Amino acid sequence: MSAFHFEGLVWHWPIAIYLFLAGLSAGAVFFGILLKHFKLGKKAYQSRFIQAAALIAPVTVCAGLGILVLDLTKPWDFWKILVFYNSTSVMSMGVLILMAYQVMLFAWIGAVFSAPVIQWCDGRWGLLKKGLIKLQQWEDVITGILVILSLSLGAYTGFLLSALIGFPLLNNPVLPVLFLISGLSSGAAATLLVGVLLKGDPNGVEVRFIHGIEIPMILIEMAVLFTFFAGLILSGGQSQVAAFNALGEGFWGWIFWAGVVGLGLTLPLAFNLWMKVSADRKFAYVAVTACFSLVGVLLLRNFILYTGQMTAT
Amino acid sequence: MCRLSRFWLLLPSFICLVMVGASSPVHAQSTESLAINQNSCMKCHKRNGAMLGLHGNSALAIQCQYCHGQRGKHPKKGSNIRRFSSDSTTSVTEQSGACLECHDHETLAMADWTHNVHADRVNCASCHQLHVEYDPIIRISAKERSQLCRGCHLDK
Amino acid sequence: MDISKRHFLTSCGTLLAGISIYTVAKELAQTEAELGVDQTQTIKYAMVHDENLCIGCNACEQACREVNDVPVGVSRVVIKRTGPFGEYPDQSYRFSRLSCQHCENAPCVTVCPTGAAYIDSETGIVGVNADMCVGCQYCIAACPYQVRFINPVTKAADKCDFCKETRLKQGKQPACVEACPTHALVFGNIRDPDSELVKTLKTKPTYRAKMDLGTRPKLFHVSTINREIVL
Repeated sequence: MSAFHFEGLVWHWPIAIYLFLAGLSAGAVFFGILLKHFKLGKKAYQSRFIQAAALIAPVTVCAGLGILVLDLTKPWDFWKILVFYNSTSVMSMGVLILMAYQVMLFAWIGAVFSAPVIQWCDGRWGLLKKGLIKLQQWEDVITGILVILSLSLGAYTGFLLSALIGFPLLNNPVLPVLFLISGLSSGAAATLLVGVLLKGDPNGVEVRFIHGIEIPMILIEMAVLFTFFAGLILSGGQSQVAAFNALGEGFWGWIFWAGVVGLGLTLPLAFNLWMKVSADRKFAYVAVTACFSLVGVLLLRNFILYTGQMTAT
Repeated sequence: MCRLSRFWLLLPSFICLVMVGASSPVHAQSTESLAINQNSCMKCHKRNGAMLGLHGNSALAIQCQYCHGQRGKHPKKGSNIRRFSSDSTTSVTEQSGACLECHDHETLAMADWTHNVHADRVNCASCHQLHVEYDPIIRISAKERSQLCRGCHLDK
Repeated sequence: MDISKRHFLTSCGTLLAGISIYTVAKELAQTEAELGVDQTQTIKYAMVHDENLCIGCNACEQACREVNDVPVGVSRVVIKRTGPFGEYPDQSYRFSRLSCQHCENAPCVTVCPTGAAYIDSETGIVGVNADMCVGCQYCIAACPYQVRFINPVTKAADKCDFCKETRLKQGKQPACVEACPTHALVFGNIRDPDSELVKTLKTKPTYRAKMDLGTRPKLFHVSTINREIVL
C-alpha cells in the first residue's frame, strides 16, 4: 500500500490544501480582529500585521475555493453548488458560510481601511466614500458577525471530514475542534510571517500579543491531538485499528511524529517560550517559527485526510 | 589449382546444408510430420483429424498413449482407452487425472479460479479443446465466459 | 350512588386498560416510528443476494453494463470473491455482492451539497440526478459501502439504481436479476407480503452490511454456509 495511492482513497491532497487554506484564512482574520480590538484600535490600518491579515485572508480563501472548484469533476458546473442547497449537507452549509464569510471579510477590510482609502480618494468617487463610511458605521456589527463566521469556517473544515461515517478516524467529534485550533494557529503564523516580510517590527506589540496567545494555543492543540487519538484507541474496533494504522510505522507515522508533533508543535512552542524569556525578537526567529507552524498544519491536514481514508469501518 | 577444386567441391555441399537447415523447420511445422501424427494410432484415426497446437509440439514428444492410455483391447469392446468428453464413459476423475499428470493444479488456479471448484466435478474437455491449434477458451470474452457458466448452472 | 360508584370503577378500569393498550400500541408504533419508516409508502424496492446460490459468473455485471451503458473500467455491481476455502480438490469460494444498498438513511444523500443524490419517494430507490451533480465526490467518500464512482463519460457520480431508468420503466426486473442463471438474486417490493422477495426474506436467514452505522440498507444477503470460520 503506497502512502498516496490505496484502495478506498477518494479525496486527494488538493482537498487537504483547500482545508488548510480555508482554515488559514479564518485564522488570519480572527487574529486581525483580535489585534485591532485589543491592541491597535483606530490606527490599526497602519500596522503591517493588520495589512498582512487583510492580504492573506482574501487571497487564501479565494485560492482555496479555486482549488476546490478545479478538483470537481465538472468544474464548469460549480455554480450549481451555489444555487442548489441541501440543509443536511455539511458541504452545502460550508458553502453558505464561505459566501457570507467572504462578503463580511471584504466589508471588514473596507471598514478597517476606510480612513486611508477615503484620504487617497481625495474627494473623487463619492459613491465609494459613502459606502466606506457606511461600513465604518457598521464596523462593530461586521466584526461581530465575521468573528462568528471565521470560527464557523475553521470548524467547518473539520466537520466536512467528520461527516464521513464510513471512516472511523474522520468520523470523530474532536476533529472539528482540532481543525479549528490548528487553523487559527496557522492563520496567526501566516499573519506574523507576512507581517515581518512587509517590514513589520518583529519586536512590536502585535508580535508580542500573538505570541502570547500562541503558547496556550499550541498547548491546547497538543491536548486536543492527544484526546483525538486516545479517544480512537479507547473506542476499540476499527477506530483503534485506524489510530494504529495512522500513528504506527510507515510514511504517515513519520509525517505525524516528525512533521506534525515535532516540527509543527514542539519547535514553535520551544521558540515561543525562548522568545518570551529573551529580551527582544528578531526577524529570523519570528519568520522561522511561523514557517514551522505553517508546515506543521499543512502536514496535519494531509495526514488526517490520507490516514483517515486508509481505514474503513 | 588444388585449392580451387577443393572450393568448388565445398560450395555445393555448403549450399545443400543451408537448404536442408532452412527447410527442415518449415517441414516440421506441417501437421503430418509432427511426431505425434506419425503415431501408429493415426493409421486408423485419420478421420479424427490430426493433432495440432501445444499438445502436438514435437519438443514435448507427447504420444497418444500418454493421455488416452495403452491400446489394450481397443478397438474391440471392453477397452480401457480414455476418451476426453463430457459424454465419455471415462470417469471425470480419470479424465482430469490424465491432465493433472502434467498440469499443476496450483498453476491452473492462478490462471483461473474456476479450476479449483470444478476440480473433481467437471472434466477438462467440457470447457477446453485439446487437439486444436488454439484453445478458444483462452481468449474468451468476459461475456462469453459468463454465458459458458450459464450453460451448466442455469436453474430452470 | 352505588351505580355511580360502580360506573366510576368500571370507567377507571376501562381507562386503565385503554391506557395500557395505548402504551403497548404506542411502543410498537414507536419502534416503527423510531426507524422513521414511512408506512404510507406502498412500494419499497429491495434485493436479496443468496451467496449460496451465487456461482461468481459475473453475468449480473455483464448484463448491468449492457443495459445501463456502464463504461469500461467502472461497474455498478461487483461480485467480490474470497477464497479458496478447503483443500484441493474440494475447494469453495465465497461471493458477496457489492452494489448500492439503497439505504433508508443514505449517507450519500445526506452529504450531497446540491441534492443530486436523492431517495425516490415512490420506490425508496436511491438515485443520482447526473445533471445536478457537480462531481465533488463527497458522496463517494461518505458511502460506507464504497459503491459509488465517477462515471468517466458523464463525469457525474454513478451507482446501481435497481435499473430504475431502464428495466423498471419497461415493467421488467433489474438486468442483474434476469441475467442470474442460478436465481441468486431476488428483487421485489418489501411492502408486498406476497412478493417473492418477502417470501425469501421470511424463509432464509439474511444479513445486511454495516448495520451499526444506522444506514438501514435494503440489500440483503443470505450468508454462505460452507466457508472458513474466521475469528
